[in-house]
Amino acid sequence: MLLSVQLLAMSPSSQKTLAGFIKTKGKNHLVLTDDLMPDVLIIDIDNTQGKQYLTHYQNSETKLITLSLSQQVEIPASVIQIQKPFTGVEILRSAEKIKEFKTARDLEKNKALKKSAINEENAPDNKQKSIALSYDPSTTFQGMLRKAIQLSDKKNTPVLISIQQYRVEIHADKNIARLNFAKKRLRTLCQFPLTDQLCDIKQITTVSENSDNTTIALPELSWEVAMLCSRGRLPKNMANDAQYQLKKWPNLTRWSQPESAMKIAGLWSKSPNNINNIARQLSIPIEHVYSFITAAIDSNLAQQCNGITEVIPFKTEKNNSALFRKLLNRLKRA
Amino acid sequence: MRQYKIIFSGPVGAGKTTAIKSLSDIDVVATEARATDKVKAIKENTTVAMDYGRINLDAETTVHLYGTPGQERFDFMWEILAQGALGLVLLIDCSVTSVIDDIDTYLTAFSKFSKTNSVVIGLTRSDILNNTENLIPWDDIHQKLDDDELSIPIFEVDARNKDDMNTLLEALILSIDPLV
Repeated sequence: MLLSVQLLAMSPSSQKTLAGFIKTKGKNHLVLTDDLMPDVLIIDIDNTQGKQYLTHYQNSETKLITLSLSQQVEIPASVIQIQKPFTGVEILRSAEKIKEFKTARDLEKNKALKKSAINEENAPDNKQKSIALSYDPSTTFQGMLRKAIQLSDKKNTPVLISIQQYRVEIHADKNIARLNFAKKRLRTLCQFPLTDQLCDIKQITTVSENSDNTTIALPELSWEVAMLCSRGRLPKNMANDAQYQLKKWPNLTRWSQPESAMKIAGLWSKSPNNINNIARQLSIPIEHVYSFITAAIDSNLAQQCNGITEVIPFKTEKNNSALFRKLLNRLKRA
Repeated sequence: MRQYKIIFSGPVGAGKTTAIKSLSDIDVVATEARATDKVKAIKENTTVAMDYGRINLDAETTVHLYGTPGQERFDFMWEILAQGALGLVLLIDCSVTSVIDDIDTYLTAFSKFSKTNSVVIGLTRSDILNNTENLIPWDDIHQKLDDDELSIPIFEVDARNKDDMNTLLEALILSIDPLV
């Protein structure tokens, strides 16, 4: 079993030495990654940034190895401490311990999964389900992005979001963002909770000139990020019975499509509607609607309609239903 | 035999003939002639009457695909061709500066049709924009649709790409009847 590992808060020379060791003698145990949630983080805690990383990650699922000049008493027992100067053997021994721990944990997880499958028959009612399917965007990259866009818009300057090696420049005036990474990496940023400690948002005066940067329109970035953070859940300030209106269709040939997106857009563009109704009328899981409306609100394609309480039900015209079904089947099959 | 039709319209060079070729089950019948006017600067041949393609759904059901000629001097034909159509696919080249004017021209020309029928817009040639920092002027386009009180599907498409064209037609159908 290879453990993915990331090195944090190290001086360039320590980073180079340790990376060299992992790529050579450590290659049968460890592999370097730039994922935000690797199996292992090796952190130098003899500096402020390292201490911040330790605080942020010490309760996460990622296992931590700290490097420091002296043993730290306040560090939880689950964190492996290695004293400087350290040897490669100590790193490999720690990797072995983590592998053993992971194997045991995976076994526990499998047991728990089997147990929950047995308990499935006692599924929670809808109210409990909707509570379980809500989340707080402010602790995710979605919240950080919203904050940065607002700041850039209000101050009329570019704003930089920095999370470890990831940089996102927001230019609200031009309605674009520049990423120093490929768009597919957004998934990594949206996978785990973020705090202000780990995510730096600041106004900038000089913008990057790197031609390798990815330029993306802000509505598209907001759509993708909201969808990836929502994962079939609804932000906690939104409600199943509130009325929302789809003002504009998302660019569904180029943006990621949540499940049932085309049907949802078709129905929601007819008139304001609520989440419960949309799911019921289309006979689709409510999670599909949650992802869609979360992304549509963040990318400014939809808005809440205050004061409207009545839904105008859409009635299908039977004349061409058979034709449309045939044509849709054909288009999906082609 | 049940026969239906879908109309493809838009300015010269937006990709109407190519889009119909991407969707049609038969070789497209194109009435092309050598361009002689300002169109010559855009392409050698241009559609002068209409393009025709077909989707055969089963032995009993056929959807005919008609492409209008792009030049505005043929605009008298546009609404005639659209009569009785299931819907309208507007293809607009978004790499040109006149993109908003072009949308306006075609939505005005088909205003009677669009009051009672579904319309979708495919923005073509965005690959030309992708090589620059210019992005599709979505805000201006959406503003134009807002002004016309239209909430219609509008997607970036490559007329050569069958998946893109299928998605556009799927949106046309589901904007008519999402419960189907």
